[in-house]
Amino acid sequence: MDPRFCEQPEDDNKKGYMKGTIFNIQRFSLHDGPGIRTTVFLKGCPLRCIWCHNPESFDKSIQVTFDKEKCLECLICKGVRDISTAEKCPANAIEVIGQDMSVDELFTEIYKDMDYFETSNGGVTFSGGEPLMQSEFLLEILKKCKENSIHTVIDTCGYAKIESFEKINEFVDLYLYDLKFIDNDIHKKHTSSSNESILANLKYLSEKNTRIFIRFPLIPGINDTEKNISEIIEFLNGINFEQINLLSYHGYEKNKYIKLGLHHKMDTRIKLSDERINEIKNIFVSAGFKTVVGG
Amino acid sequence: MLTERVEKLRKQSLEAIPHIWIGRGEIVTDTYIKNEGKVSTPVLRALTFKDILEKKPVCINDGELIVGEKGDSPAGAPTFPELCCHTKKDFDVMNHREKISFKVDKNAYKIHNKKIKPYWEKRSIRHRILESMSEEWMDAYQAGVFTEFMEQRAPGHTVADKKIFIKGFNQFKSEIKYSIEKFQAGSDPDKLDRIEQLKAMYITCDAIIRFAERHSEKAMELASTENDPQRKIELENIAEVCKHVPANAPRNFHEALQAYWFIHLGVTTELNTWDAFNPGRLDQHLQPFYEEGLKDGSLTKESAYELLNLFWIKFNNQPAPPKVGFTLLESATYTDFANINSGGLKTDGSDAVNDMSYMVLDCIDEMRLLQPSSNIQLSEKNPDKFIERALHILKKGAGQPSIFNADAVIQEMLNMGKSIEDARDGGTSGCVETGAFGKEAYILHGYFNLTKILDLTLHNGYDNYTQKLIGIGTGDAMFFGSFEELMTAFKEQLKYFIDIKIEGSNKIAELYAETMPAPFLSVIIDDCISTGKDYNAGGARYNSSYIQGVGTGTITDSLSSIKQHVFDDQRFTMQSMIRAIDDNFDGYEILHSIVKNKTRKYGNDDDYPDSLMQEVFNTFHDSVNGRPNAIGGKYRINMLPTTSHVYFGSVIGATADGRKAGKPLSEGISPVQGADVKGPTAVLKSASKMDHLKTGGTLLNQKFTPEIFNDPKGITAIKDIVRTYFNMNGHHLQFNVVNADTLRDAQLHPQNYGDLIVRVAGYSDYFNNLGKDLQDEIIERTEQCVAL
Repeated sequence: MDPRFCEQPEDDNKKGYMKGTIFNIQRFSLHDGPGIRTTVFLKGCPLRCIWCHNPESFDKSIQVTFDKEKCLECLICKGVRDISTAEKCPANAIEVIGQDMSVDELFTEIYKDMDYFETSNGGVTFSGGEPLMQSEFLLEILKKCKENSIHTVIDTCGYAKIESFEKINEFVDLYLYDLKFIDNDIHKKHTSSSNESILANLKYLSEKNTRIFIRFPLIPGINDTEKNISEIIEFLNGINFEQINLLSYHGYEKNKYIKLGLHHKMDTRIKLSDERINEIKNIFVSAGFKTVVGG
Repeated sequence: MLTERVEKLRKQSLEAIPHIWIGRGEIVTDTYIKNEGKVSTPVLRALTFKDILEKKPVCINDGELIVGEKGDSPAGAPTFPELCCHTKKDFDVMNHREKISFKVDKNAYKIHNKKIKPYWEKRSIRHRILESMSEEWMDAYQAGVFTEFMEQRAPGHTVADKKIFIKGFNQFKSEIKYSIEKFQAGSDPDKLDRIEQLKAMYITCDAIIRFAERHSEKAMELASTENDPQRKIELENIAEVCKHVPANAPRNFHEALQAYWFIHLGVTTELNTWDAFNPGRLDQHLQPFYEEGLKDGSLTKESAYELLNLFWIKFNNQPAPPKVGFTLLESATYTDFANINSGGLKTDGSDAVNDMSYMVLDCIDEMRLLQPSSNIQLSEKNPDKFIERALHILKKGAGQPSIFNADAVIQEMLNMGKSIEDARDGGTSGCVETGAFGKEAYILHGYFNLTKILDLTLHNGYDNYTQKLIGIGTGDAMFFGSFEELMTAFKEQLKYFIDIKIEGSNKIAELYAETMPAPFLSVIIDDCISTGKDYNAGGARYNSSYIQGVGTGTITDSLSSIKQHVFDDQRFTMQSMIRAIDDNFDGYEILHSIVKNKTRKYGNDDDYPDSLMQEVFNTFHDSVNGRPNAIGGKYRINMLPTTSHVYFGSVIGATADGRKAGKPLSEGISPVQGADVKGPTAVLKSASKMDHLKTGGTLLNQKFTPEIFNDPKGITAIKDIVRTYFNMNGHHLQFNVVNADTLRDAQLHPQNYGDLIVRVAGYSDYFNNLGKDLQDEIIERTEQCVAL
């Protein structure tokens, strides 16, 4: 089995205490689904898309970074840079990316904006990383949210076991489902993974009549080709979904790669013009899809 | 669309040069010399009012339809030497400085120095206030523990209600006569005083009617020599309007605006009332005239709008009267805080939004004037369309209108014992202050420096700023063994200074009641006529005295820092903390980093600091609220700083939250600048943990870049966070939609801008989260300068 499908062991008695690894909780998110939302970013991703703007999500484990510029050389850390010294570091030179949170702890954070969710018809969005990489934890937090009438959105790359989708599906109100390429070889080249399960899972969700928004990240020179676009349209003709969102690559991720010591392969200079984005939009509109530029 | 006439007069208003009109000061002096000691004080004040209105020049500007100026011409500012008398140096300062200057001509200098100053410098109420305050009061005042509004301005802070739109002064005269007869026939022990007061009111009614007549005469005179037939008709119409109002009830839209305007000039000429009087629920008052005018064909939407625009210009023509001494040096605005309300609820509790509410918003949008200030009263019963229209104006970056929770404002008034009808007819004025319009004296007594109290507690009552022991001994804080011990000491110091403040404020209120009655204002505020009592002596139906708490964020974070680092985590001792703040953190860089970066701070929806905010708020509330004032009412609190958080910061050394000595405190109930990092929903949650309904107003600022307002999803989201905050009983919200200059400053000083959200591409992010290249790009994108 692919090790990236790793799961936590299940223990019914301890579900509230089950821990997930979260790298950010963004309140007042407006572009990850309807209304005012709290977006929970789960750590770990099976894909390695070269344009990814959240590289801190790649690794599921907690990471510690060190910013020499900020360091006061106070030696409180005694040169050891880990979670416990990060907590004490006066200048925040040692920073922890990710934290383990129990279902209950995370729910407490989500619930803080409940009043806003109700006013705005918003809710919670689980993003990442790939939230389904922590599918048991995801299932428990989703259940807890639904028990409390919170609208739930999953922002997924689709790369997961079909069983994971089967389990969570009844607790999900809307999927934001990424589609990048139809051609599997090209998919593998740019994301390091096959798209077979991605396409299969989308078909499954489509058959289950779940609410789906397709998200198509427009990466200039990589997936904005006429060929890829027409293949996507062809594939989507067999899928039930409400709308497609075109997310234009912005090239703002570079600093994060440097901070994490990761190699950044994208050429950030190439940008899509508004005219080109509009052209692509029109292609999707002509195909009969409700098409939205942006999140 | 603004008409050519409006554009021209608007330009005239913007270009008018603020200057001193010395006439008022001179007339007041003459009247006092002639009459003082010969008539009762209320009658002396009434005669003063009458003389000013009879002698001041009548100004009708070319093209205008609503007439009357407070000074001799647009931007002419009268002086009020009976309240505070300018020195020659004050005149030099205001005459020569670059910003917020007032030109003083040679004649004004001469009259002031020869006649006005010699008479008033030892008699002004400011002089008498400062003479009669206790040593403890003076110590606290000089140390910056509190300010005192009324050493420079008369108690005002009241707003007109609908009666002046449905009654004329002839009717008020009959009511006064009736009241005089009632007291003459009765056996009230104070009946002579009451009758004197009522006589004074009567004199002022005649004075305002005569003042309007003088405008009528002037208009006729101008009409007789006017060559433009169109303008000639307009002048004749002005003459007709001014003959009719405010002697009689207004008959149409034009007369309603003109009637109010004469009353506005009357109130702000009688005394320099704080905060400037205004028509309150203008949309409610005007709607019946508007509907009737449309029906009988005397008015069109366009002509009504033009009149409203012209009305706006009249406000902008009146700069706030210049202050004296240090306050003059510090004051940096011409704004007089007239703050017009629209929306809210009708007297019967139903949705009050009407055609005029939207016309007022259009007027705010197109006029883009500093004055009058304006706000919407937003009830859950008001439609979304109303707030959305307001947000579309706000996104242009001028900061107007501010948004109030009408339902909370009403609840606050009910909590203070007002009737439901009076509460629904009320609103907010000044900055954020709740009041029953036309029926309440809600007098602000000064800002109170909560953070300074903590500073004094940490130094056992000793003030480092004046280098004097000014507080009581509450123990050496270096040896406090628990956080509770610190809080107990803080509460004792707070109570000590509140007692001093209230004792002083009572004396000042008494001085005003005895020596500075306001008979004209009393005519239009219920129930001064029926009780025969002056507005300044408790004649209003409701009499509230406010003390305004300042520095909520700074004191909360300072307490949180001490609790967390000294007592809970024991990372360092009280001794280290106090020594560090005394040395402004010099030599304590690590400690400074810890308190700055590791303290759990207010504004992040974290109960640890937020519960400390509640404790400070409740302590302040409990030591003030409900205590009797000098005019038959009670003391209340509200939480607003205007600009005092800058001054209050300048008198405090470093604070335990890492703030350096002399730096501004947090403003309103907003978190410390940059301390809130979890976005607006968290800020509003934190702020809502304060019990707003126990106050008479709180002030919360939120800062957004224009991008978020330009996103259709953004406007909806902002509407939703406002609605949610109001569901949580939040009192008020205002938005800064910031421009590129601010963002440039944010790049240079990111620590001050932790809460700044920007719209990036398909998502929003904190400005600080972005790399410099992206910040640069956004700065270029958002170059939308706003000219006011």
